[in-house]
Amino acid sequence: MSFVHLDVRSYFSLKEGAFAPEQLAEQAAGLGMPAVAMTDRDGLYGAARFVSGCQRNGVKPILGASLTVRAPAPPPRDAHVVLVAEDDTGYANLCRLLTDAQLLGERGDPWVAVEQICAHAAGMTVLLGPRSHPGRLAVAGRTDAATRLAAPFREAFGADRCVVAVEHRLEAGSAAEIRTMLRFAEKLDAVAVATNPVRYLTPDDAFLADALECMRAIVPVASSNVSRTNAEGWLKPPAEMRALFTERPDLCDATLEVAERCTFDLGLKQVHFPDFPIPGGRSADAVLAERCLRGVHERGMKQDDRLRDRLHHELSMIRQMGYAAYFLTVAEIVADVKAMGIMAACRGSAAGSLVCYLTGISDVDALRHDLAFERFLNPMRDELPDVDIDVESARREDVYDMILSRHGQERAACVAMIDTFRARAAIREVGKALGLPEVEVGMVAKAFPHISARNIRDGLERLPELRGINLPMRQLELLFRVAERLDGFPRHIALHPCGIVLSSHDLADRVPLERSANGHRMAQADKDDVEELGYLKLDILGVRMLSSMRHALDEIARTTGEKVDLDRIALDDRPTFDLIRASDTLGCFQIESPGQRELLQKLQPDRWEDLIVDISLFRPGPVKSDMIRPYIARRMGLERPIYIHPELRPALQETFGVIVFHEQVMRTLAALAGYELTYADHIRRHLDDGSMLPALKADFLARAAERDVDAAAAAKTWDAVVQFASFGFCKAHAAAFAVPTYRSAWLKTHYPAHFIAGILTYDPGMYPRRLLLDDARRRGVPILPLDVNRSEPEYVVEEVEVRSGSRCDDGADAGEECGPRVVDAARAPAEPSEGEVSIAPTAQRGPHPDPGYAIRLALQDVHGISDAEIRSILAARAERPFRDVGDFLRRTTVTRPVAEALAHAGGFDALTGSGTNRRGHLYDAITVDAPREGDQLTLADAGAPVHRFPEYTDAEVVKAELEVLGLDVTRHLVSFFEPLLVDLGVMRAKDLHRCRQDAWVMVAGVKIASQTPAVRSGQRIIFVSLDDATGPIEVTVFESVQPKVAKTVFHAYALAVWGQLRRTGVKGMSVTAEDVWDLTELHRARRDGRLRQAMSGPTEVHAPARRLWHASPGSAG
Amino acid sequence: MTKRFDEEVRVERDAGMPSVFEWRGKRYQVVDVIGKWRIEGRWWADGRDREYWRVEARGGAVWDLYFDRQHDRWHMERLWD
Repeated sequence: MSFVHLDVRSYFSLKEGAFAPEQLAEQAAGLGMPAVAMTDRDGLYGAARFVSGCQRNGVKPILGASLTVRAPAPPPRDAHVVLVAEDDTGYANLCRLLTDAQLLGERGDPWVAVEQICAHAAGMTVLLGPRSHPGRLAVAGRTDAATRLAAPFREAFGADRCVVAVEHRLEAGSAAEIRTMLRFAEKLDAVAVATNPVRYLTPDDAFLADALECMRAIVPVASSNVSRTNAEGWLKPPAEMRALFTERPDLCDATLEVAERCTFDLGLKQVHFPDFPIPGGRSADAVLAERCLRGVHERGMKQDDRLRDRLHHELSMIRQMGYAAYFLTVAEIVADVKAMGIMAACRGSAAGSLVCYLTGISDVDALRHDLAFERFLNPMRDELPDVDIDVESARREDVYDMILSRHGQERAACVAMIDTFRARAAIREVGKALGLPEVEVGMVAKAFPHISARNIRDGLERLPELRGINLPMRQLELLFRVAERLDGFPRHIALHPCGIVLSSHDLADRVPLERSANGHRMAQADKDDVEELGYLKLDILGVRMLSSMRHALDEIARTTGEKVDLDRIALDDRPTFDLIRASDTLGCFQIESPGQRELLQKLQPDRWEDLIVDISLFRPGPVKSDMIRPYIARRMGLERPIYIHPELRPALQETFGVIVFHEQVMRTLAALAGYELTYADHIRRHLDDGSMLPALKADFLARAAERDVDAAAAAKTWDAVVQFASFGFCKAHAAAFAVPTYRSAWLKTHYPAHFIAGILTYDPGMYPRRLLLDDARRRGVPILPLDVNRSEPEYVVEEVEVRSGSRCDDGADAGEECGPRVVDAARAPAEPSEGEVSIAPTAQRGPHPDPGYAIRLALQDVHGISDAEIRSILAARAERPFRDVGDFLRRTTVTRPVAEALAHAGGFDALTGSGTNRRGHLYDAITVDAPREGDQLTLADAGAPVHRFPEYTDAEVVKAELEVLGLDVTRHLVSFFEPLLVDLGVMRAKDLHRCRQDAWVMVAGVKIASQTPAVRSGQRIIFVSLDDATGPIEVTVFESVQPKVAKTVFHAYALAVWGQLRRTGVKGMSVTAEDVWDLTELHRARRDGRLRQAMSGPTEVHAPARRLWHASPGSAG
Repeated sequence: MTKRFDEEVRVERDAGMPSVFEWRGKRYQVVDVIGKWRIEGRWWADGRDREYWRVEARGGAVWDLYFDRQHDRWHMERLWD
């Protein structure tokens, strides 16, 4: 009394099936079925998960798919046939059919023709059910026509493998349908089997299928849109299936025969190594060894015993595990990437391999840094190693295209990523399907997870934002009932951001391929599936810093003619380490955050190895566990290094006895217990597994005792290892990261203008562009204004002649030096702008002045400008420069609002021949009648008299810059407030560190960020970051003062804060606010001579504020 | 000809199938079960769940009866006579 379901769609039939592949396996096992098929629509996405689920549950998996078949002649409607794979040939055919279905048509509209299926029939069984073309005809009573249409299937698949699927869906017409289908089978001389179109596992879940169906069709859930009339599409137990077909038990028996024939094994977990074309008769191992020896020569390394031993060790492990072709393939890809002129860097544990260094995969010398190969490749690791390669973010797609075309669809494809429903998104989408108003549903969705299906009523009352929401309770309950179940369902198949599968030629035989949204070939497998399927992958990550550095190098070459080769710069460059030690590292890779900069100051790195330690230490674990303090104290010689046991000295002396790296954990275990590093790494990876810990510890202590290690020392060592293991960092990874870190610092030291132009263009770091610009200004790099004739899409470097001497007179200068005047300038008429160098360096007090080069603002950051508009500007001015706004509008496709923005931000200011100023340009941009080229010129345009418009004031200039570019270019915003800041006795960010703990200070600056995270105590705390042109200041606003100041804190863009200084560990300092003012209001009040009143507020008298006038900034210390 | 109704009836089952039903005070003997189907759904509205039986009663008339699973009662919906 058994039965096998052969038509089953999981949730990988997107918005149709209502269960996961694993749930199917489990349910089938629970119902005592010997086998079960999964036949999703046009894909095998869930195959690996389904098979492994079946293996866990002792059910035989049958892999198949439901293919969309498109008929060439009318009626052009699509139909479906189910194909199941019997053996390797059949599965390969199925994969290739699906790949064809996906790749030959439009994306998102896969289909095949009958001929394609018939040409790939070997090894498969086809099921022609009532939703196939012939089946439809049969149901309509046209048995002969159906038989004719099915003839090609019958011929290609043969009598046994061409099967008519008969369904008993318990619908009103089911009995008649079964009769017609049986007649059709007889006429076709084909076997008939009983099936049920399974879309949900239990009848109770039918509602999910309805919701999914309507979401898929984007129609409201209503009787007219729901196709099912009953809840029979579930995984019925064998007895129920048999009961439906009591008169024809042979139909049920036939399912068992089909299942019997399906012997295909997906072969999970068997590694499929990539192919590498090897010249005749040689092994990949031999070729790899030869490449490595060549690398020794190319890298200029000494062939001593240490190198030979290490190389031999790595190569034999690679041979033993069969990875040679993988290394060769990756090395070839990295070489190809570099040959394209794209920067590439290896990250992660792969950098710990000497072979990677010698074959050019990584640029980190594993020998020099004493990195452990076993951390990367190790027979005891249960996961496949993968190499991560960073490339320039702007060229990532080019790299993908190169790899995919070079290695072909038989061997390479991108990895997919299954984008799943999160509850909130599900609520929104289901809400739409239920026809509920979007705004209200959005509010409810936001309240998730604070409310759930069980407590909606309660939640609606409890949450103030939902009070008075106008949604019917019953509908809301339905909404939640559906949405909660959809949580975790696949929503669509996206491209994984970095993974590429590399395989031997069999990839297309085991995984269907499709196209991602931007056209890349992509496997129907996510990264876990790829691992299960035993494929190795390569992660290609786009890194903005690499694009930034590439831009800097290009700009250096363009402006100076120098070709800087970052592979060959000195690794012990003094000025670079000076910059790092001064923590002047804004914009540098990995070491730019405030916390990192503070660590740099304490650590005072003076060699490459220090950078590796610095990067490893700066993470929450080490910071919290106070690993940093002993390390720094020992490094500075304030404390002596401590080794628990003398044998640990070799492993730990580089960090003075502190365990910092994973590699040290491994070597520490190896040193005392005599483990192989492979086993030591195995232990390391299980140190967080409480269940394994006692056994591991006992083994370690026993082995240490065997080797006569003092028991107390061994126990203490174990404790230290367990304590630090979770904080440890992979040294190879840190060493790999140190490469771009050092290179970016080197560029910033020697080519600040070029480097900052790069990071302004690609924005790789954590700081807003205006802070980077300020950094440039501080180190004396002039910022040149937007200019429609000069600005490029990116930030570029221009050579400038820098006039020395005071620049205070020209009115456009920024100014601490000429502070008081500047604020007045907001009212005073400004002097005419003078184009090119009107924006000059603030002062040349940066540590590395680079007077010869300036940064030109970029078109890319003009608010609202499109790439097409930028291209049209470049094309037009290549013919001849723009004369005036009218000329610009005529010869480009730039829209008027963008032209206005350009004029407003001064993009036309340099067109001195036009005889007008910025306000005039703006007037033109709004009013000029500008027929496009070829149109008749109108009279008005010919010789209209030139108005004299008042000049922009300095304040207007900066305001315009902020509006259009989001940057205060000409000067720092704070500079407008300088006299006010003096009057207030403001303590500048750069001086704050001189204040003692708990000192009362006045600080001020432009708000750059504010956050109100949920805090465990329930108190709401507002964190605000201010920038006062000398650095960032962190301000904390506690609940007690919020009633008074919250409005100002949230609404003003510049603040003055009176409060108490607190030191907050490594993160530095923060000011606890007692009172807060809007800086612009104070500015106005000062101008009107009522600053004192403005600060006291209308009613309250502010004691500390009064003392302000006497507080001198230098008093603290 | 066919007539539509929607009236409650009393039904007796035998081996799960209707064997006798009583409509407008008269008893009808079921001689043959012609078909069975289910309608379930409309959870967004009334959430109906019905088990339909098309039966031939003694005398040759064909009846559609359904069992309303939600409310646990029988209805007569259609009559061919």
